[in-house]
Amino acid sequence: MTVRPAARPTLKTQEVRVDYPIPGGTAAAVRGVSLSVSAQECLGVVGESGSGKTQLFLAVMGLLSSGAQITGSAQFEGEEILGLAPQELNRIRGSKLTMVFQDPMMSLTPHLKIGVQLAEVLVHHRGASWRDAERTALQALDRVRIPDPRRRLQQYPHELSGGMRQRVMIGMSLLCEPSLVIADEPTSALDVTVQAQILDLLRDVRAGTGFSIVLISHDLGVVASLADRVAVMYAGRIVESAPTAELMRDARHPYSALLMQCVSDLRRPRTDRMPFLAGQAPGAAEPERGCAFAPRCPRSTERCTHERPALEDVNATSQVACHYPLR
Amino acid sequence: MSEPLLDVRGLGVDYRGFRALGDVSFEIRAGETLGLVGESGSGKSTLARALLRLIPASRGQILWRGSDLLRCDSATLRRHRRDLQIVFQDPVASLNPRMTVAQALAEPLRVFEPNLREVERRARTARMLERVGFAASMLDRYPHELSGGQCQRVGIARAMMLDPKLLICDEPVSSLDVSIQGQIVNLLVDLQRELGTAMLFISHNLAVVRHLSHRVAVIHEGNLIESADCDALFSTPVHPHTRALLAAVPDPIGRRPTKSAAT
Repeated sequence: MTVRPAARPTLKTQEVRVDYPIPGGTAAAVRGVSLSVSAQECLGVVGESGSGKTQLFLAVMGLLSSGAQITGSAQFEGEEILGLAPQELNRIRGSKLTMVFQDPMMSLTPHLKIGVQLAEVLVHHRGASWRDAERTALQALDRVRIPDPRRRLQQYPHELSGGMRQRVMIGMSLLCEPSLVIADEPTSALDVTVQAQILDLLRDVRAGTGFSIVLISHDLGVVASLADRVAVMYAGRIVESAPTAELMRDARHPYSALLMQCVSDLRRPRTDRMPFLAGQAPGAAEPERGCAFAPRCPRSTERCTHERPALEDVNATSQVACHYPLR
Repeated sequence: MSEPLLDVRGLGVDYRGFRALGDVSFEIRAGETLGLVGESGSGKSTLARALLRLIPASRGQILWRGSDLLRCDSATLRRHRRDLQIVFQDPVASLNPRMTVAQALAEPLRVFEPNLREVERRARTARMLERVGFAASMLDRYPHELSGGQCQRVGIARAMMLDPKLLICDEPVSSLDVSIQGQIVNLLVDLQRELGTAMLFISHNLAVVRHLSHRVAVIHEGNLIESADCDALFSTPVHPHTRALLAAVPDPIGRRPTKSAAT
């Protein structure tokens, strides 16, 4: 079960916005997101392409291009990190705060051996000697259950399968005993059996240690299998946030409920039509009028088209932004 | 039973001595959907490409309505090719970024029906566009103006322009959000019902394969290890590897730990 101490959260964002200037206005990728991740908690962040889920956490990591205008606040272990200079940020980025990306081939350097890429993290952040760093790197590969780790250290990324590469990335993200690992679609480029292995691995490495995880995915099924709590994002905002079991059982926002129906579930009987969400979310450049989901929502009324619902508490652990929630 | 549309016998592909595809045999009948499932590297895409002779086969026969595609002359191959179309995994990369939707859809007609009058070509393009659920205003859009799901609908429309007898779909929904995969799957099912197109549907997504396949074949390390009617395969899988594939699908509601059985 999640430990929910009164102590300060590992990550706390307040009203984070990400805007891009475009000809004739701005495109709003993230429209004000406040969330917190407690120590040892796994927060799932779900949304479709363009919902702003990746932009939000790239902003937190300080990885957005200089064209992005970021406002709001993000505190990591009590320290404000939005707007920190890169050299300041690099004290924590890559050591206490790490990120695992979707495509493990793109996030490893193709011309460096796996062992060097792992070791340099420790040499850089910890001032370790190369010899010690390589020993720790070996343990890291062992920890993410890579068979024959000694041989793997001497190999290049292209010699590893996609699943193996993602294990290396996870091992790398854990090298400096982080407080928070942000995993952005870590299994989306992998097939179903490897996906299951990676999710198992994340669950197991987490069980042994105290770090928190943010798991970002478009697939509620993936998120639900690991997260303690889920935040559903739509058009740059959180529209519902609840403990996973509660959300899966009793989704309140019509969007969450529709996303649930789209989750692959082999135990459901075969149906004639496969459920899907018709239409598209409004683009980032479109001005906000009312609820962004209203045009696709089966429950929307006139009110929804001009009055934007605020994210409000339903109980101590859940929030929803909807005028007509399902319950 | 009617004679199969496609009868593949002992098809194999070697890449510099590596057996990507061992010895694969199967049939597809007119109007039938064969689902092909397997992990990355199992040979799924190699099989799709070898069937269309996009890569050379090393052995075996591909009997298309009785004639062997691996041994026919280029004129015959070209004639058959209009009946065999493919939809690729990456919907954006499979469209030419410099062609509008209208141009992309007209391209197959330009190649295979060069004498068609412009008016007729436009009419058929517009009809197909409507068929995949787009308004006529989409005709002048470029791929970068479309979402991934929209691009894939254009890819499907383009493949259907010549009214093919067999449509090969190589992971057509894997790069799309789960929330819109259903739209693409439903579209393929509808097209098949209306036009009687046979399909080879390749995917590692078992829920999708179950949804639209009549029969399912499982490929592992370049060989078919199990093949059965769709319902039978999912209710009583026989091969241990098939069982492992089924067990790996996350179970969101029960929150069953997804302890992976496969290696």
